[in-house]
Amino acid sequence: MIAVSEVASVVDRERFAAVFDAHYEEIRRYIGRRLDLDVAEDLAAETFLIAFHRRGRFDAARGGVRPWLYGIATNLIGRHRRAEIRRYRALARTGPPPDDDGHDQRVAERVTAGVTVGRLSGALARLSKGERDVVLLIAYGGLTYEEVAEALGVAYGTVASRLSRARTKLRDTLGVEVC
Amino acid sequence: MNEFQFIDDAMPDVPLADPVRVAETKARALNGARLSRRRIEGRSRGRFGWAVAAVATATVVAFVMTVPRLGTDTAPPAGGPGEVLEAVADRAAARPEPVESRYWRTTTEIFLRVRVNGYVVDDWGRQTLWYSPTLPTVREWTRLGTVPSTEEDRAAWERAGSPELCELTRGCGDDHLPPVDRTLVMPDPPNRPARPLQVFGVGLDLKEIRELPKNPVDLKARLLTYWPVYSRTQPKGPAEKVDDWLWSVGTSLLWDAPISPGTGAAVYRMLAGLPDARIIGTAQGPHGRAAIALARSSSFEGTESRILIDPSTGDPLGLRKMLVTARDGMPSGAVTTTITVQKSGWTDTSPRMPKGCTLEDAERCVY
Repeated sequence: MIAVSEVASVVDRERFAAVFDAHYEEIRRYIGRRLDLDVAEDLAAETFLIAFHRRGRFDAARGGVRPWLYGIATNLIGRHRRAEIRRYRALARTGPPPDDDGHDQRVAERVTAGVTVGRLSGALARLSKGERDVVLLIAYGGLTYEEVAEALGVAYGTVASRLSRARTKLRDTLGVEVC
Repeated sequence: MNEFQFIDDAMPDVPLADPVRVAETKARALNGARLSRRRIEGRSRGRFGWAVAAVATATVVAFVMTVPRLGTDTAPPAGGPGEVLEAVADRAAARPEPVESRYWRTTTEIFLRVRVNGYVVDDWGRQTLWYSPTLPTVREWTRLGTVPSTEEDRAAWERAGSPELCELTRGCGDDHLPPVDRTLVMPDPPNRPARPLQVFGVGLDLKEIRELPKNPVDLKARLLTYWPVYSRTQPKGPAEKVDDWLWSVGTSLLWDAPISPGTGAAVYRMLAGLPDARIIGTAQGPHGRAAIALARSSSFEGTESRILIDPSTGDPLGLRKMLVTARDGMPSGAVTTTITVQKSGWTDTSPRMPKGCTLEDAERCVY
């Protein structure tokens, strides 16, 4: 259930600032993990410009603010699908950037199956766009299955079936059990 | 571990956003502005795309700093701050001599953060200067938005009755204030003054700009010849020191005037040699770009000013001013001004002049 104040914050021009403050960084981070950062900066800004222009059409009955924003961002990412896949393929070849040592160390501590960022990137590149959207909305955005359905404007069952296919592909590609 | 947690942990993360850029984006969103399609697509074209676009464009832009150059030495220089500045100045001097055309055009985006009536306000605008060797100078001002800086400032503004937020550089009393995202064109009188280009209080003509020395010592000596006239014309108040003024003139020359690459390099070296100036080898430039900075505190303004320079090309990227001590409810280090250079170079295009726009009829000068 969405709070009345949250609806007001979206629709009311003056209160839209609170929506921006609460969600800009996470939307930028979500896009920045899927596309190059300079493109992500522009798309994060565009997400909120679109949201502001469409704030009158925000329908609280269809879900919360976060799925709504993630849905706009995911649509924008869709225009850069080839760039996203190129990025995964580059990561598959080279792994994470060299200044990411601390991050790499954290992963190394948690992953015992010998799975590298490169292999995971290759696996993500091989998912269909719909499957990748579902997986990354959950992984990066922390959305529930219901929220993913709201964000993408698809049925709950579609989310479930895409997830099932994506899991199978990820496990097949990675060659390990990750859950 | 489930697969979603695994992906979240394993995949590279992104650095936090530049707070100035976030504030800029917020203001644009709240003012209902739109990012131009050209900007979105241009960003995603990459270097090769830019090069193709540049070739395909019929407009001749002899020297545009925002277009990355291909085939040049673009690796950031190594060494201590002094060595880095020397290397960057050498690169600046090695840039091609600009080819004079119809107009010298400089576009800068300006951000100001000021406390007014108990709350802090952020203000954005875009300024374009069109300077011609033969035609009257034209200035354009595009208003990008004015909003309370933080939620606390917004609350204070609402308690004050939500008064109109006026553009800081022009004020509420300006009848010709353009609406947000509209541009006001300001033509100079048709009779050109003898020295039409104003560089921080100094009127110069093209010949004087061309003949500015390429050696920092000679450049400083030449600029100081303008100081007596400038200081006599300033209103009485806290005395501005000559070094503060030299810093401001040098900064303004970097993007407001069609100086030669050699003079640009001399400006960097002259500014680095001023008392209290320091070189920051690794600084954050506009939009998170890597930069080196020339920094100097001004007791006159109570701020530290940082000139941001692209270490790969020597191009000036802009300016950032920060408070030296807490003031007006803003903490020490708060950014109060940024100037971001968007374009600077000769062009054969002309400024857009709305129909009926004259010096006397400014209402017709908005597009």
